[in-house]
Amino acid sequence: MKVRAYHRDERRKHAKYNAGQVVRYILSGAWKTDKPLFALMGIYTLVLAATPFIGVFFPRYIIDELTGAGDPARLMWLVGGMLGTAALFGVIEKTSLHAQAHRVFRLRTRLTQQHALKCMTTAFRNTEDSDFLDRAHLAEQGLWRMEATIETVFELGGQMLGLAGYVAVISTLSPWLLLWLGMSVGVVYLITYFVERYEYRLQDDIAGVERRGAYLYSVLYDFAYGKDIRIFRLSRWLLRRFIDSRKERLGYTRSIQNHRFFLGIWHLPNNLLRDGAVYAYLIWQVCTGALTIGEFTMYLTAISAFSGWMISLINNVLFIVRESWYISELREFTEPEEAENTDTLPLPKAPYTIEFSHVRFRYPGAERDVYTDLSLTIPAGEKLAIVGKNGAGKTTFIKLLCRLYEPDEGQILLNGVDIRRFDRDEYAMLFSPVFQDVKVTAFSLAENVAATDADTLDRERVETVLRQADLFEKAASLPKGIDTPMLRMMEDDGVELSGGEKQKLSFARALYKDAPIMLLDEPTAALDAIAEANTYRAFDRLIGQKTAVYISHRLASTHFCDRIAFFEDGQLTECGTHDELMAQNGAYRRMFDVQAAYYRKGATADVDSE
Amino acid sequence: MSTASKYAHRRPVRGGAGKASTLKDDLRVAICFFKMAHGINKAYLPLQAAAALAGAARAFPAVIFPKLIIDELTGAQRVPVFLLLCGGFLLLTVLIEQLGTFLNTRVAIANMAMTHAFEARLGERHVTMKFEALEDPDILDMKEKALVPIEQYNAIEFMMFSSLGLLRNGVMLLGLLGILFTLDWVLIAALCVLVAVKLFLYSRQQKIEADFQQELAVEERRWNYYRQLATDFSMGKDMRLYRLAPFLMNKIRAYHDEVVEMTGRIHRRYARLDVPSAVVSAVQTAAIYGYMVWKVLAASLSIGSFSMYVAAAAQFSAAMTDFFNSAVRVRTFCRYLADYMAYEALDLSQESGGDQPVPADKTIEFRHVWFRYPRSDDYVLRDVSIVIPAGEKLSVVGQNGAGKTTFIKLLCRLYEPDKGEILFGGRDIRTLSYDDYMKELAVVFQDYKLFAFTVRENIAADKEMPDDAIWQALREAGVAEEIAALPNGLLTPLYKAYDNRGVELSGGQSQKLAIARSVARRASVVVLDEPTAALDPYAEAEIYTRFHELVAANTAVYISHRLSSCRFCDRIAVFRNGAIVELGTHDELLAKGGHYAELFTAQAQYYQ
Repeated sequence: MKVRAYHRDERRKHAKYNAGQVVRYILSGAWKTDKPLFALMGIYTLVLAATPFIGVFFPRYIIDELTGAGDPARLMWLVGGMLGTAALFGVIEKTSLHAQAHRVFRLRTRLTQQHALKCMTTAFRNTEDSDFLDRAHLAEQGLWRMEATIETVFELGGQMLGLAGYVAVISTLSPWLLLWLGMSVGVVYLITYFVERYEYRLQDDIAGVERRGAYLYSVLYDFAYGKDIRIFRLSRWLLRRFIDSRKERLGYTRSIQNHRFFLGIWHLPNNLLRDGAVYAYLIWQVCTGALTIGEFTMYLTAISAFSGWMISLINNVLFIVRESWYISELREFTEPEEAENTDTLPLPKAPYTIEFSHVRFRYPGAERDVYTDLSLTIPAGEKLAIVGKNGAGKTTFIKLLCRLYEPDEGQILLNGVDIRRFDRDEYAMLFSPVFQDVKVTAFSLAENVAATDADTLDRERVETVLRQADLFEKAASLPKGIDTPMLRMMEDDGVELSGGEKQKLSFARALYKDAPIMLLDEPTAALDAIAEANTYRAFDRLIGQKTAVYISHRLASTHFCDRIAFFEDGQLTECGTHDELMAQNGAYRRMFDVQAAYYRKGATADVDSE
Repeated sequence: MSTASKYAHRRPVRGGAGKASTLKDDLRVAICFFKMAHGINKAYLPLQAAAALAGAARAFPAVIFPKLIIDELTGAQRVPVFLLLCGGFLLLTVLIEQLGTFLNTRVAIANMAMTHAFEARLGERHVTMKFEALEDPDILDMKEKALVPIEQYNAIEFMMFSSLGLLRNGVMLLGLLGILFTLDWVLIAALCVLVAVKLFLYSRQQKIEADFQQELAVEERRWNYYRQLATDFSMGKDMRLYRLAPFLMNKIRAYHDEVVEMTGRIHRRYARLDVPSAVVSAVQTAAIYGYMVWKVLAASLSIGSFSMYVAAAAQFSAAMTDFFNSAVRVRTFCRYLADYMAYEALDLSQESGGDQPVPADKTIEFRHVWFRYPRSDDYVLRDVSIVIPAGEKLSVVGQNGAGKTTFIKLLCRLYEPDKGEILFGGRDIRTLSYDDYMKELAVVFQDYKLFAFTVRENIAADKEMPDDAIWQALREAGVAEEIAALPNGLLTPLYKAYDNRGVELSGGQSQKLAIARSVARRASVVVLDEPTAALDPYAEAEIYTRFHELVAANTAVYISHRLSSCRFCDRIAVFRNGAIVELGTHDELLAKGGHYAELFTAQAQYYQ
């Protein structure tokens, strides 16, 4: 994830929404889901903007009274009034602040849910598209920035009001002075702009350095590299590369900071001119008697606060502009995808015949077709083995069948109907897949088997399928039985399963789902010889009368399949029973013999001479 | 909005794994942290102190000069005095400002350098610590806990930043106190009351913060897990075909409701503290004003001094609030860093082993080796004895968990035997120079890792190695043609993580490249652990047929579930429950009809 964040600059130039649109998006999102939040935020920022004016107005009148009549009763009222106002504002500020905090957080959790839902339900092809993955992670960055941005947007509203207040106060003194101050703020803006622009221009280079640094960091910090680093004695080399890369990164920061400092020197004359003129003007006004000491204090306070106020306002605007880019990513990412197909034909009744009819398919962005023209029919109840070399298009077959991808040409038919016409979720219920790498989640064993909440799952059925998958003994030996949490991610007493057990879990899950079509993709690759043979023996029992598609490099597995489809470069080149294909003496036979040679008596010599 | 309040309702943050910490604990962590920082860069702490001083100095001209100006305004109104005062005020303000900016830019650079130094320091420990720590789940857990605040919340930088704030406000408070002392004891007494009240509120705030974090520490784990789960795209197939999304979304929603509710609850507690505190602040400011007004009326204070003391008191009150907020934050970060410091303090260094030269005789012998993993009761290897003569090709087979990979790890000195010894050329490997011994080994682990660097760097690292030698290794591993077809040949980077022009390799290509990396070492012992699990029958057969070429006259150890691989090895060692139960040639063992025969037949029956 760390690595991915640094692709941002290649995309920054193409942000879909500008800062204004992002602000509108944030506000309308908040308005739709949480109107009280608006009221609270409004009150909060209003009070925040008004509070500094207590210090502008009250001292003025107090000082005037002190230098003037010095009436104790009036002074008491003034001090009391200041106390009352300050206390009131303080109470409102703190109350509204703490009342809105969890609401802003809730707003973020809502967006987090949208993001999560999008990640989980987006078209499958996106999950294998590195550009999409980058975007998902960038959008996640938008989530992290959400709260501060929401707050800043509201804060900006308050600051605008405050600004109006300062302008009003200062313009009662002299509009020219206001203009003068405005010019000086303009200079501040320019300085800030040039600093930012300098940084912005280095962004692409910095992104590259950070990405390389992040990779080197992950190599040093991820224990998975530990063995290779030790055996190949790479530690010093890797460490040096890491330090060099960090030094390079620091070089950029150094030059940015130097730039910031040297450009910042322009603040010096700007401040001197601004404040010098203001003081001279104010003192002159007092000396000529146009201003009282109290007014002098008030204007001095207001004017020095005005500059700070403007600078913080500028910074907040820049902050929103900067962050809006990530939030634009979030917004774009969570927008609904174009619906591919809205047909929702009800599924036909079992049994199911599947037919691939002249299917042409190429992965997005790939240079070659996986299939140019694939046709194959799987009758109901058939056990079909798919074999072939790596890259021949075996796993793709399963992905197309499950509708994880769609053919570019041709059709896949279920009982004669194009599968695209069925409801996607309902269609997915037809398949029980078993993969080599089962993904265990950090919930209970039972929830992992049933893929549903503990409240809604059928416990008896869980136990039955665990028994069938030969995992019940293990489950029974766990401290909380089938309710034992898996992994140590969430619970300290979570349990890690071994490779073989995970494999069995994968079977149990498929059995619980009890779909009419089983898909097995290399389920025995990580198993030892005995476990593998046991799995083969269990197949008939586990699969029963269901249709099954089986992919494996271990050609032994083809023995218990009705038919074998041999794939070569995306073509179905041979198809038939094991005996038929052996008799055919073609590519399947050659492949089988290569593997079988080592298992036959006295074959070693033949193999070596090959 | 103050930074403190902005910070307070941020996403859940892990705090010290939920321990309540005392001031003493936090202090220890802070001292340890700054000692480390000082050890890394001697100029760092003085720089921080200077920046804090400059930051604190900023407040004073605005307190003192207006008084002098007002005194002159209400007094003689001399123009040269005004010029002097205004000029002094302006110049001083601007210069302090510039000095502050300068020091802040230096601090920013130093902070980044410091963060890098911390990273490099721990990185160095990771690549040099003894291997067994890397597979210890407790250490792994500790590492995760230690790194979450560092990686996700920038704890190191924030710690430095917050402690700078603490120091700055502390210095400012002292200075303001100095000014206020020039008035009289009543004001000082009033401020003491203020400090006492603030201290009381601070301790309450600290308590809420600590409780908050204790609750969050639990939530933190779940928050991170759910976050990770949603973006784990490797679950894509399972997610869609098992319709996991509704199930997981329910969990996420329920969890979010819970944390939002909790945040609301915490903030209601904060409000019960903050609201009275706001009133107390207002009362105090007004009290100070009232007292000053009284002093002016009693004619013992000029208007100029009035405005100065009022400004100083207001600053004091604000600085006090900031000071305690910084203190809360520093302590929060101390708690985050407690895990980091504990992890950093672990002594996991590799014993450098002996310094004996590696003997010329390459015979390997395991002599009554017993081994169990740390914190485990069961022996994984039980009384393993075997002699592997130089040049022998040994196949190691057995069921999952029989001890095959552990056998290799011991040979590689990743672990040390609990009992017995491993000899190389008749010498205990522990007495041999670690670096020299490693040069004798070329190992391709089952979970080998290639790097996102160029092909050349993957094979030769930073060592001088002629192109010919690299191509030779690639040819022997059977991947030379594929590498030659890459756009930049040996200089093509792999993957996209380091260089986005990198290429993705197929499973088979990576496997062969990993083999080439081992071959290029021209080591005397070659170990291949399950190299063909992901390969199709042809690629598998290719590895088999190349095996002899690959290992040539060297000793070779070959581990595989594919028993076909035993056919081209001189001898087979059959592991069962941690012991070598059978040892001999394929034919011998098959004839014997023992465990090997059982394993072999289980697989071979389908090929007859």
